[in-house]
Amino acid sequence: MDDLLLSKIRLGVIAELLTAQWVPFSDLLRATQTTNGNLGAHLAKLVEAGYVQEEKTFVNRRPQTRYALTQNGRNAFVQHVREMQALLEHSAAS
Amino acid sequence: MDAREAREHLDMVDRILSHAEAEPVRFVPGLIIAWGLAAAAIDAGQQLYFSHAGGKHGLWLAEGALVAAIVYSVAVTLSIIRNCRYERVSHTEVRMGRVMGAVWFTVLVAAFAQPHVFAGWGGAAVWSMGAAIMMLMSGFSGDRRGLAGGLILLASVLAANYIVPQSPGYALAAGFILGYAVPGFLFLAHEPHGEA
Repeated sequence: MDDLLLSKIRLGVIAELLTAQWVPFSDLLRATQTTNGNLGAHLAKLVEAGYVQEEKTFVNRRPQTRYALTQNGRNAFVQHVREMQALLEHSAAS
Repeated sequence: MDAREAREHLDMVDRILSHAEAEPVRFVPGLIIAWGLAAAAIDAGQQLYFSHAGGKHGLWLAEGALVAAIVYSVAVTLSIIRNCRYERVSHTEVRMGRVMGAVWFTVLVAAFAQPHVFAGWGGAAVWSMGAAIMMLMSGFSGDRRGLAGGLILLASVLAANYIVPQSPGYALAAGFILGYAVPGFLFLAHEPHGEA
C-alpha cells in the first residue's frame, strides 16, 4: 500500500481532489474538518510527492491557495484503493 | 493497516465520491435571466416590427436588448473567470460548461445561416431550441425548474407554429420569459450565496 495514503486526511484530500479540477484550501479544510496547520502539513507532503499540484495567488491582497490532483496522484489513489479492496476480500475469505 | 481500517477508509472515499456525483448542475442565474429577457425582447420587438405595430420601435427594442445582454454577459463572464480561480470547479461543471459551449456555438453558427437555411422565424426558433437543450440538460439531471423551463421553451416553438402562426414572435418571447427568465429567477432564489 502507498504509505502516503495510509493517512485518512491525505486519502480524503485526494478523494476530494478527484472530483474537481481545482479545490481551494478552505474547501479542503471544510471537507477534512481538521486544523489549518495540520491540513497544511498533509498537503505539503502530497505536493512534495508530486501527487498534488499547488497554485498560490492573491485575492484582495490576501493569499489564496488552490490544489489539483496530478496524474501521479490519481494513479497512486487508484492503486491504493485496489489494494485496500484486496485486503478486505482476503480478510472476508479467511 | 487492518481490514477494519481499510473498510473505514473505503467508506470515507465512497462518501466523498457519492456526494460529488450528486452535485446539481449550477447555472449563473444572472446570465439566464438577462438572456431570457433579452431574447424575449428581441422576439417581441421583431414581431412588433413585422406586424407594423410599433414602427421601428420594435427593432430598437430588439437591438437595445441584444446589446445590453452582450455587455452584461461580458461583465459577468469576466467576473466568473476571476472568481473561479478561488472557487471549487468540479469536473461535472467543466463537462457541462463544454456541452453548453458547444450548444451555443452551434446556435450562433445557425444564426448566420439566415435567411436561406433558417428562413423567417426559423432563426429565432433556433435560439429557443438552444435554450431548451440547456434547460433540459439540467432537467434530465434532476432539476425540475430546468425540466419545466425546457418543456415550456419547446412548447413555445410548437405554439408559434400551430397556435399563433400569425404572430409567432410573441409565442417565442413568452417561451423565453416563462421557460428561461423565470427559471433563472428560481435558480437565483436558491443560490447558496445569492450571487447573480
